Amino acid sequence: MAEVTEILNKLLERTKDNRVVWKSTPAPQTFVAVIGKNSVIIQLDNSDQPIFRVNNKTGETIDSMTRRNYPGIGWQDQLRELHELARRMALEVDNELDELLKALSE
Amino acid sequence: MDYFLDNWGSFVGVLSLVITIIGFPIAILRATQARTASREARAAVIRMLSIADLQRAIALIQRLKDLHRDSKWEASLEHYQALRVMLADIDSRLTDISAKQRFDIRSAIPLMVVIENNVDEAVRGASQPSEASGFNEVLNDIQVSLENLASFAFAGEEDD
Repeated sequence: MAEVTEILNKLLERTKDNRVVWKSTPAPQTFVAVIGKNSVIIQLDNSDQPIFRVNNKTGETIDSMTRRNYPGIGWQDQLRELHELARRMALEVDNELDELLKALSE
Repeated sequence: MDYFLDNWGSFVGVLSLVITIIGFPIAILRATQARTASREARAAVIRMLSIADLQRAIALIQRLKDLHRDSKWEASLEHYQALRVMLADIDSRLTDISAKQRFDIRSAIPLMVVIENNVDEAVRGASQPSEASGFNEVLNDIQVSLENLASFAFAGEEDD
């Protein structure tokens, strides 16, 4: 039986390999990705704590990871890492910084 | 003539064999044609249903945009789930669309979840959603994708 932690590990791995398309959303610090028919959401709540949700094909949350149900520091670090990678990808941070550097060099 | 009368059973057998040999490919051809026609009819019905779904989803998005504009958050909460289900249905029904078109439909679903969660939290806290201005921008993008998809499906319908 698959665990949500396995999904997180795999997603982290694929995100590092640039194999997941993360999108920004109108909500602050919230990013989404589509995986097959399912989707995932990674966000920071009002207290800056990461929340990871796995949704089914209609968008209902079928599993999640928060500080409450996964209090271990290791999980929290992984969620924060995923959030940071998703943010950089969704906002195209690397491209933006490259362009900025190019403009400053001219 | 006597030879024929003595062997009429064999002649009938040979004749039956000839008819079978000729008839069998014709039967296969007719069955294949019937199956193709049935498959095409099914695809046309599915496409028609999808166009109707797309039109309903586009109308619902317009309704949500109006509710957002009027800050009728509680009323808008009633529609997000229906829209998500419609989008999932459209995704499963439309089989002959591009990867980009499918990605656009599927991406719309978690975006709707994010908007819904944001509105839900605000309604429960008796406040305004924090990023309300961005909601309609997202809905506009989804609406444009669905309209393009409807034109694409409708073009396929006219070709049939």
